[in-house]
Amino acid sequence: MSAQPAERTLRRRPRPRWLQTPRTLRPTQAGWVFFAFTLGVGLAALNTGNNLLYMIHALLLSFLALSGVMSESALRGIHVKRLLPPELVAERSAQIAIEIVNDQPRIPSFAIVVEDFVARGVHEHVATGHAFALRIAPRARETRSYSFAPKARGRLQFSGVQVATRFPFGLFSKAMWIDLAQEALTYPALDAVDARAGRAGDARPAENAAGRGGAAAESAGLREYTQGDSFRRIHWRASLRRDELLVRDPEQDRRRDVTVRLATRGVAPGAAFEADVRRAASEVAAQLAAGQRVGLRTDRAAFLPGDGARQRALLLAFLATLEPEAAEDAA
Amino acid sequence: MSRLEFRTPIALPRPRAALLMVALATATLAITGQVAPLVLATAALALGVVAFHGDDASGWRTNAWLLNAGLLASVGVGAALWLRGALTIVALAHFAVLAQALQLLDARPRRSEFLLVALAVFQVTMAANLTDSAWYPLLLVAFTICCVWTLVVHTLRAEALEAGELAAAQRVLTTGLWRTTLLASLASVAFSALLFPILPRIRSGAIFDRSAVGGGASAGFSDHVELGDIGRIRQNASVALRVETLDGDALGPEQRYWRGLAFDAFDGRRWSVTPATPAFVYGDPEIGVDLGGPRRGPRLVQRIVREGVDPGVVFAAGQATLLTGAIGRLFRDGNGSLIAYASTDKRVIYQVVTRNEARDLSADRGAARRAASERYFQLPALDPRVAALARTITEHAQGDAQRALALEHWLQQNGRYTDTPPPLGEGSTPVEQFLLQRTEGHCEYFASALVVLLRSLGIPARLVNGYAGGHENALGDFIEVSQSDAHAWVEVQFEHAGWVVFDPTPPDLRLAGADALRGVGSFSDLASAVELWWFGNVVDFDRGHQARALRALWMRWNQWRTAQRGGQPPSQIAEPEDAGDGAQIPWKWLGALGLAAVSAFRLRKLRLRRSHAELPRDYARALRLLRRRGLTRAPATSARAFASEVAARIPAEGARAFRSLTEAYLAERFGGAYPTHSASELAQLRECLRRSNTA
Repeated sequence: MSAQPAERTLRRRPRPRWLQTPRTLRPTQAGWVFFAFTLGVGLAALNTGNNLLYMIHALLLSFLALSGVMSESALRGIHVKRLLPPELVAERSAQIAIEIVNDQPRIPSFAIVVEDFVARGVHEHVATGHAFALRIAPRARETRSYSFAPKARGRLQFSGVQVATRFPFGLFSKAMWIDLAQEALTYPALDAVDARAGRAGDARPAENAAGRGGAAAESAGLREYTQGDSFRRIHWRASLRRDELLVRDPEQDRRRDVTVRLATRGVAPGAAFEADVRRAASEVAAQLAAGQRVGLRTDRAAFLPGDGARQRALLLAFLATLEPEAAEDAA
Repeated sequence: MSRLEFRTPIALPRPRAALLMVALATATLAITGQVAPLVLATAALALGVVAFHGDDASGWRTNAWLLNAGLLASVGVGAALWLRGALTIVALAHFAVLAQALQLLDARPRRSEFLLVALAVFQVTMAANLTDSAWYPLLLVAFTICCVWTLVVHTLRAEALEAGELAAAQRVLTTGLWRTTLLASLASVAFSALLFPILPRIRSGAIFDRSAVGGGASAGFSDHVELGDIGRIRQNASVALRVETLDGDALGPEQRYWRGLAFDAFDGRRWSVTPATPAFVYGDPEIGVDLGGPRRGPRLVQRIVREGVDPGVVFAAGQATLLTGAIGRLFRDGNGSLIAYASTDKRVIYQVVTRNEARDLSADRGAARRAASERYFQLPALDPRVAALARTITEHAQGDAQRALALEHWLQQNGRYTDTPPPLGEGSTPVEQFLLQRTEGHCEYFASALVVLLRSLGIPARLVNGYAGGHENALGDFIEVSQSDAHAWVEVQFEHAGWVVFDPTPPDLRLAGADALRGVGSFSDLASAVELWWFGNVVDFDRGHQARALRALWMRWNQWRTAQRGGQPPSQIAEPEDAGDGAQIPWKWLGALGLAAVSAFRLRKLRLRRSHAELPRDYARALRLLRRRGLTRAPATSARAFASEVAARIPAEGARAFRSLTEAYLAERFGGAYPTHSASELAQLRECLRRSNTA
């Protein structure tokens, strides 16, 4: 089993304006060696008075300056746009597009790495992935994407991107932070569900409830009795409940209204609730995919059955942010 | 994952610039002359193998055992040299060259080129300790360019490899990037040239102070003279001294003698100094040492760049009275010779003041100083015919001065100059053979013969070794003295005139021989002038130069400030050469230029800031156009609502154009879109409005 890559986090505390630095500079291992060497040559020059050592020291210092100028020319004028996919589903990879624009009129940018971050807490940011562009011509834009699989459902606060480069010498990594706040909704994880099995109990199509926590699918392939219908087709139990005659509709056998039920009252938040939400979302997605009209009912809210992408987005978005209710609240 | 380090091994051949960089690094060590030719040949062989075979990843070049064994051998070579007494830095240089060669040959995938670059920089740094050749900065500039390009190529390759876009790396390495990198490298060199003079010069010597610069002592000089040696020295055309006359009349070729060591004791074959131990001269030469000496005669101030010479002799054009320069502790022997032992194997630069009277012996009628030290009369046991010869030559001369001149004249007329004296016969000394058999030899024979003849007449004399003549470098306005200008002459002591120079060597023949050896030509003159500039302004640059530069700057500033206040005229404050308005003008212009540049920069920043805050340009122009036609957007009206208002009052074509401009403005202002150019829509709106007006 391969080890999970360590999560890269970034802490950005708000600072007074006069303390804010537009760029951050981190030496690589070779950069540290270079620093130490420059210092050593400087000390040797001071000690011996050898002007050729002074010359090398000056050259090493100007090399540092050159590195700074060239890396700045690579970062200057860079703008970034994040293009989110239509939907984000927990535990499922999605491609997040990053558009990198070099606004400089004459100077190309090299070896640009854009690392995307989501906010966690107040000052902490967690990297979601990165995109790389080796060269961006002057006044040109490059679109790259990275694969991202959100871990859990809910609102995802993309906070910003860090644009970094190790150009030109690989001695330093110079980076700048660009605020790029964007909110995305992550749907609950979707498991593969057999849509027919999900309509549990064709025998009790409209009110079947299954599942430990109360997540269930209620079949509704019934219509009102009309003159000429065979009595053998009357669904008596549903008719008694609705106080009108209902018959099974053979036309709707293939396309029935399905209402997914999810108990939310008195349920403790945690893994069990998350599993129920996941099951309900999976059911919703599977039924809609199977062409059913799907509704959703929780202890507090209800959505009428519907179909299509809009209904899917509506229900999954609701499930993405659904929280359990305390029993007394409900009371 | 942190992207700080390069993690993906690269199996591509090294860039050609890397090979050139290594070659240049090794060349900087090669010009020091301190690295064994075999080691340099090994490095060249490794370069050749890599240049012609690339990074062939098969066979021995990927064998870790073999490469490690090679590394051990490199360590062994360095250690062996060190144990045999070589300077640590020289041993390290050998190790670095060999390790670099191994690193080049190593064809295994590598994560970066940093090790190769680090070894190359290490070599260049060690070379800085071992040489001060004028070739060094040229190699350093070329090295910098190659180093920069190597690292750029490496970074782009490594980045592309990590991103899985290796093919893109090749496309990115274009001529344009190369040109940019070249310009950036040259800018970096220029910046370092600006930094160089302002870095603080302390020379603490706190850790160690054992410089190996100078390439060792020259073979052209020694603390003794042995007849028969100088012929070899005169075959050596390398530069010994470079002399600039700072004050006083420049000397003609016949008058130019730079005195080194004077010898008093002669055993028939060899000259030496008594007493052998020189005395310490109190004072710090870096500040300036007063050497006493004659106070009469014209003052001559010369700046001399002297190459390493054994035993650290300090040359001067006559009797030195004041000496300034970083030459270490100064000693003086009984014959007035100056020696700085610490400078034996170094190139040194010093300034010396001398006073030399014209050879006027009339004041004391040429009376030799009979009370001189006994050692100036000392003679070995010689054939009596030598003294008889002296008497014969001087039989018509009146006084010691006349006698000395007669002997000098006789030797100049009857002697024949040759660098290869005849072999010494049985039972006679070189001087006896020279005087009694064949008057053929080089300057030491002539000088020794004159001293012997003078002493046989009871006239105190000594032999002086130094340099004479030299070649005037018109480009650099200095005199270049080579080892082939090594010369010996005679000093005779007179009662009033003191020590007076006599040169019995036939001058024409001697100078002709020296000129034939020297590469006289504009190129060699230029090379020598560049070298002198290099030594004087870079190698010898110290805190004194810094202090003088600061003082000059301060004077300029003071001068400018005073002139601004309308106070004292600048000419009364500044040094004479700084006086006058002409000197001020460039500073004023430079100041104005700087101020203009700063203002332009600030203005540009301000405009940029404003442009971010203001409306997009095209939309603002559209609003202006509409305002002229009475369509003004009220503060509370949204952009889209205004567009609708406009649409109701202007033709449809113009309304469409304005709606498009509005949408572009909204997208840019609130949608985070990038600025777009809507020139065509603006033109359409303008045209539409113009047509509606005319209608």
